[in-house]
Amino acid sequence: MKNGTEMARLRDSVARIEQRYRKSFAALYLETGLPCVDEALRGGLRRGVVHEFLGAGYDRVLCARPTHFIARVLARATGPVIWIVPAASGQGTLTLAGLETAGLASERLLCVEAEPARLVGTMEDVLRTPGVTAVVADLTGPLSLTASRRLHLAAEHAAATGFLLHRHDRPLSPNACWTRWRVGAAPSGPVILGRRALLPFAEAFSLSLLRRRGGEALSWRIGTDHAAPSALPLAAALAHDTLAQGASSQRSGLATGAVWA
Amino acid sequence: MAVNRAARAYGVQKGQFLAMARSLVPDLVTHPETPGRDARSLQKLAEWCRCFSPLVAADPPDGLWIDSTGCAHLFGGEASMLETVRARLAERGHEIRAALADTAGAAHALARHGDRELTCVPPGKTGQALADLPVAALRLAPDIRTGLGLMGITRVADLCAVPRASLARRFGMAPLSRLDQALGREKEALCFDRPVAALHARRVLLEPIGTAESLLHVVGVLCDDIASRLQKAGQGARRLDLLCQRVDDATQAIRVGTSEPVNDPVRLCRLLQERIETIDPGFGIEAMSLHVDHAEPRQPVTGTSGLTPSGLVSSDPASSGLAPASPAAPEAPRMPAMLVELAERLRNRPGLRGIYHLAATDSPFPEQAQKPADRPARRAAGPCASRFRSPGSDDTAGDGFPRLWPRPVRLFAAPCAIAPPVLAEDDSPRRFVWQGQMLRIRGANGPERLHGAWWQHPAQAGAIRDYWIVETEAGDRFWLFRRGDGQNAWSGDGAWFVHGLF
Repeated sequence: MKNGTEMARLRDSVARIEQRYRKSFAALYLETGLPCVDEALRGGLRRGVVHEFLGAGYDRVLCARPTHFIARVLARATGPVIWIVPAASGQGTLTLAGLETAGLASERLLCVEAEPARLVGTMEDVLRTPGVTAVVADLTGPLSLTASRRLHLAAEHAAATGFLLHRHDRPLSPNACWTRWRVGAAPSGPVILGRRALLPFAEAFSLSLLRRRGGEALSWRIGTDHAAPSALPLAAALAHDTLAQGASSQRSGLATGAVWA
Repeated sequence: MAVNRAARAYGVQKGQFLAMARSLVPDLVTHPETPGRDARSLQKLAEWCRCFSPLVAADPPDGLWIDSTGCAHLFGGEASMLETVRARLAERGHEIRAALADTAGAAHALARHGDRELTCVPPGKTGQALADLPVAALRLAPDIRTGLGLMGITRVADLCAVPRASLARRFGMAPLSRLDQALGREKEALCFDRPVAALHARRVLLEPIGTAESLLHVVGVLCDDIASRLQKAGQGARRLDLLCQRVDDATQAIRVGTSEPVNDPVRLCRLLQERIETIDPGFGIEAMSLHVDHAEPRQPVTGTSGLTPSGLVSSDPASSGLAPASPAAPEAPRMPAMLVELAERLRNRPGLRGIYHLAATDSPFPEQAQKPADRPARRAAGPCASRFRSPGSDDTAGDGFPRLWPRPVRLFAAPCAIAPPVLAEDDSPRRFVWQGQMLRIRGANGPERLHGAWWQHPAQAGAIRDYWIVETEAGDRFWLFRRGDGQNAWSGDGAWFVHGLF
């Protein structure tokens, strides 16, 4: 009898391991939406592992660009997303409007405020919850090797994807995360209209894959054509009071109309 | 015996002769003392105080014990729990003095003899807090108190300084044991009343247990028992108390709240399981009981679509620490049952400050444009695939107006002030100093003018902000704004800030 139950448990765990390889392509990878990156990674960011992200330059601590990148990746997937933020960090807050312009719907997002000491433990706990698509955590300090291994095991167990945002400027030690990314700045060519230089709405950025397991480091520079072209509705802005009325007489060289990025 | 505030204003004091009091206030209203009725109403008040903690006991003639272990975080910390207790009792017309300390004896002493109405002693500071109190604070018999007074021992600190052996020889063990109880050297078992719950299950154990696994097993049995009775009654539990009786007569309690009426044994068990680590089994637990503190009729869930009716998704305000949710919108969005359960489970964990969804408000200024909400905001459209949509699509803000300008995903908690940037002839910023470096701007979008919500905040009347999205030569995009329109002083003082990065 005991042998029978033991065998059943072994069969169950083998089936769970095999399940990962039987799933469809979309269940194995999170698409980034950038063809060059998806092609190099053979499908996108891998699910069921932990990815870590760094900001660069002035964005090192705020991590706005990595946040935007993660939100865009998660916008292409379905299912609930849990965002774990340190309580009373006072460094920077997530904005709903920004996440929604990135495509992440608010009803999929649950924010959890945890004390910094309990942040990684909470993330592990949430990762083990069945049904979670992704867990994002804002870290305020470096991650230890043991903690990252635990996170990796939790993510693998429940096939949920973990994202770590390193929102501090201390050096990172080696850890068990699957990939480490840096999302940095890249100049996007402004459109010169008369005397004004207007920016395309889509932002150029540089994306570096600093390390990944079983692969070499890669780096991309993403231009402004990574998203569908969109109009900057200048005419509407001018028609309403969003431009200072008193100064409008001085702006003789300002053109109106849609600017296509 | 007791004097209310109005009489005290006229100089009437507790313990005065009635004739003397009558001479001060001729029309003084007096009531004869009724110990029986006082005790009964104290008992009723103790029952009512169960909203703060499952472990409550009356301390006649005028006190209440509340064991706040594991409950303070539900009120946002110990100090704010005390404030809540005082505010809610004040609503019922009681003026209280309260103290929260490591030991029951210390709390008893500080509540009656402390110099403030509300005293919250941080852990480990009990000795310092008690040092200056009179010896009478230690619940001693009158003869011992006078005896100590004759020897010149008036403060608790004096009592600590006296050699223990001589004290015991003269007064017996009473003062020493009271001192030790107050300082936490000796354990004191308070007799907490069992709540009068409609539903409870109890298991008395043959052998005392102490391991997490065996506790979990008993919890599972209790949950099965309670859940089957709830299911028969068509009800679900909203608040549960697990009481563990230890062999040394102390009681350990766990309280969990649920976000909807629950009668699923597995879900109840999982909620309690999270908190088992907070039980201190001591030398062993010999009886455990599970009380349904608050139950509500459960609406039947139709179908197995994995979704719950959204009307049920409301959180228990006592357990979440957030403001109570507004009534459900008729077309509130459906949230996966899994997310509801996860939020409920996390709300019962200590160490987590808030579990919330972000909801848009109609405030124009970005730092007030969102608020934490218990359930996600209603959206007309499905999930959007991409950030950049064509102008014809439904790219609207929460208030239904089209949003023309992109927003950054992260804002600084407080906008960072910068020196006024050098402006070009068309008013767009050209250069500005950020973190000690001069940054040249290659392109700028703006200004986006935001007007303050004068109908919500009178201070924002006439306030104007001009927001600019600027890109530096390195490619960093900043979100700058100027307070005011740059011409009129009433619209703002013209200071510049960095509000966020893109």
